Amino acid sequence: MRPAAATPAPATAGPGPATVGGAALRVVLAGAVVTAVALLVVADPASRVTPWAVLVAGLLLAAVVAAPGSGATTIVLLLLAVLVLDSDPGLLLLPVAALVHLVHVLAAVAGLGPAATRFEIAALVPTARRYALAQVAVLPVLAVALLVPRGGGLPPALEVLAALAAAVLVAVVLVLAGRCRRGAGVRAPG
Amino acid sequence: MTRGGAAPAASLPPTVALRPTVALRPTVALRRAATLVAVLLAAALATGRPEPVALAAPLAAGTLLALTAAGPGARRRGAVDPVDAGDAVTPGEAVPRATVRAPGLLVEGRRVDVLVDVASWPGAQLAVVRLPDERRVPHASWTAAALGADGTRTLRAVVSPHRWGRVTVARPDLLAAGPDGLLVHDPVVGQERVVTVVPTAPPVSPLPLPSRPAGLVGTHRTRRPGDGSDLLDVRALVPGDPMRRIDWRVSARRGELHVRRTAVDADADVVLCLDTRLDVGPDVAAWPGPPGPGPEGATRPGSSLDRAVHTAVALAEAHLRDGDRVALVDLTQPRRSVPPGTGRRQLRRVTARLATTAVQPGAHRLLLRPRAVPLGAVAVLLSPLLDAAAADLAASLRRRGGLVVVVDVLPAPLRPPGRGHDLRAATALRLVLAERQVRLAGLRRAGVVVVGAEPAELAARLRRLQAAARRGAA
Repeated sequence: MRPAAATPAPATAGPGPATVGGAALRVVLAGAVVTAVALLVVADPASRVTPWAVLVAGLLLAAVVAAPGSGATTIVLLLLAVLVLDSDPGLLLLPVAALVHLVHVLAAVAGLGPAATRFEIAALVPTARRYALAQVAVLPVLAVALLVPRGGGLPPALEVLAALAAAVLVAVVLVLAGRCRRGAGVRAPG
Repeated sequence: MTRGGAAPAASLPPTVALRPTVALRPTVALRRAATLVAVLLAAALATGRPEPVALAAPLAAGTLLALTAAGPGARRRGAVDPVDAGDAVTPGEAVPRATVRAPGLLVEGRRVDVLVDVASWPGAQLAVVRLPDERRVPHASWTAAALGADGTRTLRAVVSPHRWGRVTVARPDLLAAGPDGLLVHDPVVGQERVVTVVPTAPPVSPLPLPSRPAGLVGTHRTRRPGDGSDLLDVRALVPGDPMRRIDWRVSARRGELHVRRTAVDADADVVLCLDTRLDVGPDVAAWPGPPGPGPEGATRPGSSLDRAVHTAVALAEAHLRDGDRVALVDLTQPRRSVPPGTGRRQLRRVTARLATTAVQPGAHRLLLRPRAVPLGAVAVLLSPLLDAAAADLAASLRRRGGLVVVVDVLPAPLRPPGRGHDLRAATALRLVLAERQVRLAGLRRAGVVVVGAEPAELAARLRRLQAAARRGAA
């Protein structure tokens, strides 16, 4: 016989929301860093990988995985930028740029909790959507800017900035046009 | 906002209508994005190369998108601090917050749902919440949960308390974050939800009860004829026998009327006496220290008091199931005693009282009111028997007559002091145990039944006692 008053509602069966472990996010984070470095090394066959560089990179990677919300991630991303400047990745710059953005986003999310945190997939969907949107908006512009032959007296950086500025201008115009259409639709007659 | 429509408005305390604004702070990620974009653009301008711009552009776009999605509720300044506002603020409006909904009374080892209501600001993307973990009670695990458009969410967790007493089932610490974790609110320490967990125990047989009835209801057979359910014998009809008791088959076979006699179903008082002066564990090295409660105020699993409580629950269940009257006596706090009673309600009373049992280190005497153990009742004394007081009490109860059962709740096997302790500790332990053996032998000589508290041993011993009692009754 069991005490009747001490019988609250029993636990309901059924799986909860789909989750992914914080450790898995950190593994993906490390994989993104390693992939970006590998792409840059492949893009520059003349580069020499010394044991010291591997050791330092390993330590930094361990720091990023252990504490994604720390400054180690910033250092790693800055070092990636230096590697990009040191090499000439060409069109490989596009996946490297996407990976740099991915490292930043993953580190921001994974750093919110301990490694054992279970992240609901639904909690990551908005971040993934924004990441994809940023990539879709920026990468084509960058691809065009990289493919178009350079010439004239302008520095290449200014050419890319100009292309990005034009893209932003188009986006702003489209957004404002959409708002105007919505506003006209709800306006009361008379 | 008014509180109570009949009260005059002038007497009402002023309230502050909290806007849905919260004080957010940028995370390292936001500072990293800003720093990287600035450095990369500067590098592009300095070197005249397009690669830094290509790296900075997705970062800048993603950061702008995230900040745009943060919503109008996210303000970095101008928020009302609900803590500083004190009574002027309706408490429920402080965000972010996490509140726990759980039953006030749980059962040891039984899984139950606990709901955690998370409230944050509109625009918050996720909340990292410390939820109870069924496998690691009272520890917990962290879950990053998606929040709704209004910044709220109800999370479900399963808890299965593995010890009785006052147990913290949840403390939902909370970190609410805006889009992409670029803005967060300061971590919020959750309010602990403490519930009472009532103990449970594996079923055992009831104690053999004396034939003397204490009432006219119950299920125990006695040798006294009367209205009951168990057949006592069949005999010839005599004047005064009720007609409904005539056994027609026997009467037809023997040629004269016979009646069936049944034994009266009687109940009996079972008084569970709990010695709460000591709570010792199997580790003898810890005995000299304060024997008080373990972490979070709960009695340590496997300690003498834990074994006593579980044994008391098992015996109470067994006897109340059979219709007996059961009482509970705390021998150091007589006011906490439960008077005799029957039925499921009495079981709830007894288990609830046992769930709040705590050791009383300052108590040295055993207090038993004279009428606490009625004549003819079965007295069950649960004690580690480390001193003479409990044994003396059992012997005095036995001298009054009636069955006295002593449940030895001293944990076994004991772990003697290790090498770090001197020989005096080991010698003292041997002396204490030797005195205890002498005490137990004396109790057995006096007719007191001494049983162990191990569930299997207790069940087997009670079955043997029941069988012996039946043979004696036959």
